[in-house]
Amino acid sequence: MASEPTILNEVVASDYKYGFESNIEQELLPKGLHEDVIRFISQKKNEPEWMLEWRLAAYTQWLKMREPHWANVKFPLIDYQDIIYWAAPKQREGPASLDDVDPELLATFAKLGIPLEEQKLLSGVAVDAVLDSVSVKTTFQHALKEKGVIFCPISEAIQKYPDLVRKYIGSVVPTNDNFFAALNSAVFSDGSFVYVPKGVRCPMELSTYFRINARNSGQFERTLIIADEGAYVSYLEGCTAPQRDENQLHAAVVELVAHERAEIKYSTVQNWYPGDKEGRGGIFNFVTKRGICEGAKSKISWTQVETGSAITWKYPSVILKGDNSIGEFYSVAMTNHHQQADTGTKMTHIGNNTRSRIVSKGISAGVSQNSYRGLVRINPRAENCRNHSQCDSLLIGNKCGAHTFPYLEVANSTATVEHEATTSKIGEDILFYCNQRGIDTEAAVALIVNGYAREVLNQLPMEFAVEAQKLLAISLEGSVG
Amino acid sequence: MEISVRDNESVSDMIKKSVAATVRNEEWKYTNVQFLSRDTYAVHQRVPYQGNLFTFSAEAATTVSNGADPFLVLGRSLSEGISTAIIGKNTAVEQPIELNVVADCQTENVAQSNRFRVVVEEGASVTVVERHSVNGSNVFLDLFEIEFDVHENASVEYIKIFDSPGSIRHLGHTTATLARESRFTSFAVCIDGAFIRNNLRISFKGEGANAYLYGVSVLTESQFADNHTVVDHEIPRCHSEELYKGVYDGKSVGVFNGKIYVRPDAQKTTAYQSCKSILVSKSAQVNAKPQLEIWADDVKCSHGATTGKIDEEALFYLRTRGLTYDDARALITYAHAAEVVEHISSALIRNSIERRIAQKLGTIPLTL
Repeated sequence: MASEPTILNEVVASDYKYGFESNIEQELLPKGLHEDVIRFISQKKNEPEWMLEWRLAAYTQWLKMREPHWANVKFPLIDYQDIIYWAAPKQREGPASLDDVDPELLATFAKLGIPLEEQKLLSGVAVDAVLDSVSVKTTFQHALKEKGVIFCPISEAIQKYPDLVRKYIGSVVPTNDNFFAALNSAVFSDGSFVYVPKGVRCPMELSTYFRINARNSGQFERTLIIADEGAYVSYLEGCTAPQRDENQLHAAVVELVAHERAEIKYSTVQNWYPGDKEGRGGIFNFVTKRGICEGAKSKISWTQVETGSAITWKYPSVILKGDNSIGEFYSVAMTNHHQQADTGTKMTHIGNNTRSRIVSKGISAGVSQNSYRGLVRINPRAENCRNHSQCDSLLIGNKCGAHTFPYLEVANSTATVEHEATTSKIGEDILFYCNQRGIDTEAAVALIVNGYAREVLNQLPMEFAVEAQKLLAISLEGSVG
Repeated sequence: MEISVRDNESVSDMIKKSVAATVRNEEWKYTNVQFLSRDTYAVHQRVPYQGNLFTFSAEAATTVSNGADPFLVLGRSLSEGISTAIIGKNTAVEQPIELNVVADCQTENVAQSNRFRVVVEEGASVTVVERHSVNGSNVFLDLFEIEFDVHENASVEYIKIFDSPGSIRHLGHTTATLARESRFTSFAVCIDGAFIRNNLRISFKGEGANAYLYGVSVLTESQFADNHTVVDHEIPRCHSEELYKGVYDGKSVGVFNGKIYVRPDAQKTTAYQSCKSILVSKSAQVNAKPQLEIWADDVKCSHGATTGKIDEEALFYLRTRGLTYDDARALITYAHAAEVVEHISSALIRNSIERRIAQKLGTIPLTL
């Protein structure tokens, strides 16, 4: 307990912890988006013809779409011609071992605290580190290979496993799904690909660190995870971006496919740069995440801790197609200063006896706005479905906002759908109780917030739970008093 | 009977325009009104209110703010004026004021727009009962608007009832502005009615005001009821409670959209909302959208929404006591609906509504 105020004080003094910029020589494409940019990206990635055509089709669709503004967030119009769509660190030919990797790059990861080397072995985490657009180093490939698990950059998967990629890419999030998904489909530069074969339990947690580095470059990564019959995989994603004045765009797409009896657990700790105290700069995080429980008795579980980004626009969803499948969504969204978050989930019940659970905890401080937006849909032919949603909001300070927009659509009488939401502030009496016992107000708030978010944090894998707790404390900086 | 329609626009065109304005409109997400423009309607004049409480004043179509509900706009442009009642200071009106909105639809489809205004002065109290029904087998397009201006320490009980069969298409707007320490209780009772859309808006203008909003829908066949409520806490220290319950059989559809706004600085607000629905038949459907938007921190707000089937265990319990399946089902759904009705203060009105609900669900009311 004694160490928590120290963490807070350190952070108050230090502002954004990850606000350093790596001086790695970058290969940049001029700003702007047109067909040639897409051709260039595709060519750079040495992609087959079908992939290029897929991208171009997405681009054609994107041109017809309009930027959505229905979410409860305000942002200036984005000039899509003012973004760099390709930025790659220049490196010597194919690094075979860590020694060959640019030392600056390694230092960047060290600052981020990613144990890329021996520590990795001990912690048992395989990392597919994405720095801007190119996957730099992938570890543990061999250990995974023995089990038949494929874990590689998606660009590599397109080369090596074109059949798998072609079969699944865009099957959960179609290219014309929404504006940002279409944009991503057209220009995605890299991301991760995971395939877990039948009956295999992935021997370790798979993890990716995304980091936006180049100035004015949007990051469009694409993740595709497939768990075949009876497989299990847990995937961790962590995000950090350096401090900058301009807003940067991040439009990722994540697709999950769970076959019969398969289980996918997807955890995110999102800590993109939220902008400074006056609301300048920060990341626009417009992400489409969706999973499909394709087979019977499959399960997809999303856990997210969102503390960063100037604007978060994110709805990790599950389509419950297989009978008896399960969808889960656990979220802690923390906003401070001028941050805006509009996040939630969509649970679409198609199969019989499908169950879903939603636990969303919002924390707003400063002058931030925090919204939960969720849809639970029970289709007419889905029998005996069950949903329980709980969305709580905690308000810290009297200038912030907490909003809830649940949509409950029930078209089958055998369903049971429950939704509950509460909003309140931290009670004066609780703080007084803590003060009385010698815990100062800031530490008391951190304590209460951690307790409040515990239900979600408990869902995170161990190493992330610790980081997430620290992040929450850090994000509360300056919100008390 | 025909009235001249302003701006040389035919009624059909005006309806089409209002219908078009609901497309891709979030407020109309679950309510499709395309069918409204498929019929033609003769416009009938308002029903003059019989009695000396209301005075009618002709009024040119009042302008409405941009983005107003398309059917509020339509109703205003079809109405000739507004009937106003003023309840004087410290007057307790013993008998409920009955507003009966009926259209003569024996020979043709009818569209009618009625506007009312009730001013309840300081310390006064009143009960208003509003009934909507159709006389005849044709369609009644019922555009209705009522405003309550509730002054300090005044109290209003407002009961809106749909309980007669017939092809009613109701688009109603109720607004209430509440001054300091006033109290407003509202009931939306939908027992029969082909298409009902109730818009209810509460604005708190003075501290310490209370609003209680209740709704009950017992629908069968292809009946449709949509309750849209907005509770706007603009002022600190106000209290609101909402309870909407429904029983849906046949192919009926229920919609609930409840918004609670707590404006910046409306501290010490308490706002609760609950929406509970039972789906009796496979083809019935409920779309609920409870919504909280909060910009103040020292508040207590919650909402809950449940949709489900009849509790199997409760059914089993009653059947072990010798009730038939149908009787047990009727009793459980009746009890579900009655929880709302029991808040009505007038025993006469309460009993009559309970009887109607019991009759529809095929049971007997418990209070007889």
